[in-house]
Amino acid sequence: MKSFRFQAFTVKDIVFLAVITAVTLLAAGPFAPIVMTASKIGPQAFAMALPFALVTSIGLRKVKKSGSLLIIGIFSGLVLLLMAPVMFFNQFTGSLFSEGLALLFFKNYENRKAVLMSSGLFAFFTLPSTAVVNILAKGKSISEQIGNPLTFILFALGAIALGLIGAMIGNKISDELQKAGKM
Amino acid sequence: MCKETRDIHPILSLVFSLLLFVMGLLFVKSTWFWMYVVTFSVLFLLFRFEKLMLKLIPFVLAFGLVMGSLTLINGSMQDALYAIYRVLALGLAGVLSMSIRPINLVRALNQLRVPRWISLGLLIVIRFIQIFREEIKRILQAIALRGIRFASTPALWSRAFFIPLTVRMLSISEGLATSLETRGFSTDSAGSSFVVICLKRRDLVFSILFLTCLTVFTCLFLRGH
Repeated sequence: MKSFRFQAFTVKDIVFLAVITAVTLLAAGPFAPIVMTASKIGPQAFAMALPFALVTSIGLRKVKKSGSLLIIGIFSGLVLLLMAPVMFFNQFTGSLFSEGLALLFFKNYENRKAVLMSSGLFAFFTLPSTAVVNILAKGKSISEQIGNPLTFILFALGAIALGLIGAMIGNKISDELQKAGKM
Repeated sequence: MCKETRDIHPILSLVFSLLLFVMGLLFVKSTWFWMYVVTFSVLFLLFRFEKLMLKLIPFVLAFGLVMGSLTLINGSMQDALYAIYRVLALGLAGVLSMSIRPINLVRALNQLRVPRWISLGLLIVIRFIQIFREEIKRILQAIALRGIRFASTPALWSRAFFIPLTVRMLSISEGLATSLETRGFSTDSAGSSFVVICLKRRDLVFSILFLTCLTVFTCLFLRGH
């Protein structure tokens, strides 16, 4: 059935999504210095795209309920809120936009492409909120943040490409575990 | 039972940490920014945050130097100084947010009637980061023992790393969920807490001093000093 439906999350789902979030944050940890030192927007999303997409896609394959990615975004945002407050908005809007877009096209996560799109575009969709937060908190204009437009476009496209590659790897791992009866 | 601790109320710490960071970023280009840092550092010392401050100093120094040096590549000395100031603002906010004990934050969130799935999820994420760091170390040791190297066989290495990690994620979360369910935990029922986090006189004094200082600096900023 290809229709949008909202199913309630059980304790099991919430626990798994929280564990997935913990692993996502750990996987993204080594890239944190790049994220924190980059003065232009783009490198952050590019660096985070692969680890975020890989781990979250495994989570979405296990909990195929609408809102799963948003929950991951809320959990990771709440933890990052304790370290860098702006990251909460980043994570929240990134997960909201990418999941919203995926569900708009595919209605639910039964289709594997929905998982690919939702987790693959997560990092890319953090770019708008980063730009808005930089304008509000640091007073940086859009052109100041983008710098060289070509570099920015390359980083944005790279974030999409790496995100999709990560989501594909995550799907492959999930397939293997499904075959083994672990998922 | 109201728990008597020397910690500032977790919700207050969280809100003040956010305020300190956001306002710090706004004030970075002001000539009196150093006064902002000194004032709040003194306030933290008065409220016995010295251990946390000492813990954070190496991070702030190292990160500030890296940020400053990286900014110097494309920018002026002034820009590098602003970059260091931003790290100082982050460090100040970090003192407050690091003082929050996760369990107390969850208790305070429950008292505020925040949905239980949010407080539970937050607690699991904070606790399991450390657990999975250990798991990852063990998996990496096992890979090394089997003589698999990322440089020579990246596909095999990735397989040997991600499959056990995912299996551990699944088994740990299954065990934890079962354990929660057998203890009667449910996302839709209201829970009770043995320990109550309440506002103390210390919280009130801290809040008054903190907000007074912040108001003074905001006035200075708005007047264009």
